[in-house]
Amino acid sequence: MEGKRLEASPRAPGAAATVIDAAQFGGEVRSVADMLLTAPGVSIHALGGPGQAATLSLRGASADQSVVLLDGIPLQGPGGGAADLSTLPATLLDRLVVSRGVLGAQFGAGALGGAVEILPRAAADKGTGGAQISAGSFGSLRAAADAAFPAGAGSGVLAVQIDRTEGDFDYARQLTPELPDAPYYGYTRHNADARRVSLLGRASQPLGGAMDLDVLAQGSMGDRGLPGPASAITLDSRELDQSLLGGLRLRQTTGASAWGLRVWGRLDRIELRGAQPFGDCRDGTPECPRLDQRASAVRAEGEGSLEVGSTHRLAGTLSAGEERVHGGAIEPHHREVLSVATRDDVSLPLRFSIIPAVRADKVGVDAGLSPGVSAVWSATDALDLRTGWGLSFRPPTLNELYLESGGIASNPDLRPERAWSLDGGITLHGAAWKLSAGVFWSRYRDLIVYELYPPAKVRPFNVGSARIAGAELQAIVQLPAGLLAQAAYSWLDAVNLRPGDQQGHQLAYRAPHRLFLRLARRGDRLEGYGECSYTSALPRNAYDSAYERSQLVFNAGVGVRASGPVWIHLEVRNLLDDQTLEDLFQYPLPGRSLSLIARARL
Amino acid sequence: MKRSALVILLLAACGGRYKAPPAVASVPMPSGAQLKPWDPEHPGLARPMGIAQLNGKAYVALGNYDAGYMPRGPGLLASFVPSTGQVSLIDLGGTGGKQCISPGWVRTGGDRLYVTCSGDFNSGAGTAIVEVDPSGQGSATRRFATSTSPAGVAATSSRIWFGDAFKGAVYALDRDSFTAAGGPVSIACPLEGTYQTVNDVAIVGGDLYALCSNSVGGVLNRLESTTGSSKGTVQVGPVAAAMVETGDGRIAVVSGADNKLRLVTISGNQLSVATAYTYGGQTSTLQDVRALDQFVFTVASGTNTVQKIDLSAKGGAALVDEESVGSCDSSGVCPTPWNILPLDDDQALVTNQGSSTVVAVKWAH
Repeated sequence: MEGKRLEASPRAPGAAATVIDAAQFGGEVRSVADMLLTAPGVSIHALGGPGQAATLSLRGASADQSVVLLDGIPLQGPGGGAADLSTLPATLLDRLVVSRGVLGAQFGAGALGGAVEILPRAAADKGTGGAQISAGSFGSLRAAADAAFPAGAGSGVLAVQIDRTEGDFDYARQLTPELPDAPYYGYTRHNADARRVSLLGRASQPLGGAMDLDVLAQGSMGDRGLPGPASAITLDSRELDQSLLGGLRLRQTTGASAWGLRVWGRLDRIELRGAQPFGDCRDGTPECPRLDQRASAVRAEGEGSLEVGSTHRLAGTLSAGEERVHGGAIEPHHREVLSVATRDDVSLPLRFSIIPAVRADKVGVDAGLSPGVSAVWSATDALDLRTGWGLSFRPPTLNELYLESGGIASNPDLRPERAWSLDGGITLHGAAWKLSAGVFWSRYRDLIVYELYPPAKVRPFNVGSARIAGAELQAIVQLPAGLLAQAAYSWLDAVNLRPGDQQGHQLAYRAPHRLFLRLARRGDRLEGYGECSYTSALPRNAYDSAYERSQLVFNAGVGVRASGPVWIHLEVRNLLDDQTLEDLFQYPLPGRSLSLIARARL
Repeated sequence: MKRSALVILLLAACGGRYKAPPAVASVPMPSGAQLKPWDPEHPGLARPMGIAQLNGKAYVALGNYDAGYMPRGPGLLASFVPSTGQVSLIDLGGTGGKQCISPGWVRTGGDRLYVTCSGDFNSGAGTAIVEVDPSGQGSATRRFATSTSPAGVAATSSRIWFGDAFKGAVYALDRDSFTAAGGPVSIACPLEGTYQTVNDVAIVGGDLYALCSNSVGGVLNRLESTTGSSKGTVQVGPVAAAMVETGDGRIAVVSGADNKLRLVTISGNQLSVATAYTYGGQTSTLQDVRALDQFVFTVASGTNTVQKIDLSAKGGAALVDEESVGSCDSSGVCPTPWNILPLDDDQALVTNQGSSTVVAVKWAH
């Protein structure tokens, strides 16, 4: 009997993974970050409320070490930093695949915590479409529409999402937090408004001879206030961003072999107005220049796979390109990017599979090998066991190497960060349920940490070292009456190994426990959900002496089919109206919010 | 002023505590042309930093830079009587107004004040130690151009000591001639980490103490106060931002990275350290510590708060009060407190670097 594959990314079939179906959130006002929180091993760092920046952490790795790909194209902030999830339109997506572990062999240099693959709505060969409009608290509005249609011999999809929010929510803070039972005082968030327009176009055209041409274009444009932390608000800082991404792929599958060629390009621009390292300033004044940073990346990729006998499927990719950054506080810089990767899926007797992979990346002057191997044993139809090992690196970003801005100094001598991890897991599944559990152990060194650069700047250095271990549990159970229950739990033990007083303490900003519970019903006339998200207290410094308190948030929604394909939904988030919630950096989070949503699906 | 000192002495002799006259609630620092901008079209903002008291007056080092932290004028020293709040300015800038830029620390030494000028961080110009004679309207009497950005200043009868913001070293000036008398004297610093900086210097019990720290450790050095030769060290925690001699002869040190107040006990040639108080998770960026009687007073600039801690409390040091120095106002200006000056056990002045004010804090307990 041949080996059997777990539900996973095609690029990392042996990795610990969670597939999130975006359709399950129909009728809810979701962001990409909200969706990802349903998976174990995921943490989101959100700088405030709706429309504000949000980045991803996988298995305790930093945001820069967690790769985000849109239809296979890596997303990054200008200068190579972490992708901002808030710029991605949630309603334009089909599903998200979260792969966890040191996965440089599968996803390329940088995937030290893992990767999130975001798959946009697919083209369809028959006409379908939908629309959704919502209005809610804090002046929040969303309108989204999509249409899939035949196009010639092929198909296409067009989708648009428009968001806006005033972001003027109320929050509460203690002015004297050292005093027991100090009173909370009420405030209203200002300069937290956000507007965004996102577009997606995708088409697929058969060319004959089992050959297809795929086209993808995605653009996003936003403008938001940067309100700052509660203790140092910034009423004059704003950020404008634009991004455009496009790709062409030619692919052919013939019998036991498949090949593809792809070119893609990405343009990103961010302009900061009224912003400076320590607070804000009045835009337009001589001492307050605008910071305009632009980045671009182009890549050409070839890929192929070939079945060899009945036990091997060999796959390889070759990729070459360039990334550039310039503008504002950074001199023009560019670097070449080159990679070669190969993988073999080996099906062995007794339903055993082994998947060795290796990838060589050269990013500018930094080059390295990322080997990895995973093994899967489908012991029975209801039981899968897996294990994996990976070793990889993350080259410093162009910003880390070259950005000189206000209080930030560059360090062109930075080396890549390095990590390896070992993990294992078990999955039990039946017709209507699935339970999975996994453990991992990872080691990081040469981590890039921003340190004071006397007298008054910060500068990145390769001084960090850490060991992160943990466990992940997930349960999905289909219940009677159209109910679906989900639970995801993550445990992290992130220990700082940097020599000095920090050694042996917990890594800052990593919550040891995170629990997500959700019960949802889908049906013909009545839908609804209730969910709970718990994040334990997490260290706010590197010495286990300051903690951000634990957070418990309940959300719920109900929807009824009003007429034909038209549904009306009511959603309540932060049901307990806890106005004291803050993110890691003391950015207030919204209290209870209501949204009324109308949607139609044809 | 002599009468004030006599009152204090009499009160102390009788076992009572000195009570300062009530201070003005908020004293705005000068602005615009009063800051003597190098370019009248582009005046800076007064940024109150260090604060000291001499002869009943408060003296506040004023940074003079714009919203982008670009120096726009000479370093200044503001002075006022806390109970009246009437501010006058002492120009520290010297010829061309650029011989003292961005003053930070101000400390007393006998009947004089000594001010550090951190300089323009972009060009490196304007680093200095300035001596101020407070008599009359006050004036800068002597100025020593330093080769580095000075951090912390302390005076003995024969020396003016200051630290180096860029490395673990201290320097001495001869107090009589105001010329270099020693240094750089290397001091012990954390062995790990990417940088070393001197955070503060002080004279305690006739010895010079110098803090050297970084993000992964901190060392308090005890040095002979004439030559700078080492007399011992003790570990005091990362980002050891400031220190002060307490009323009972110990040294209090605040460490911003691990949110702790530590007390160093001096016993003969030995130094020992103990954690006296650990701040809660919401309190951030401990910036300053001062002492009066059995109390120490600390500043957390990241949370716009100041704390009063009783070292004589039963069971060990205990927080007795915390006050907010204000919230961000409707135009987005936040206080960002920097230094604290206890006037008596019940009130203190706090320099708010962000809002260009010096505010009075009245302790409820």
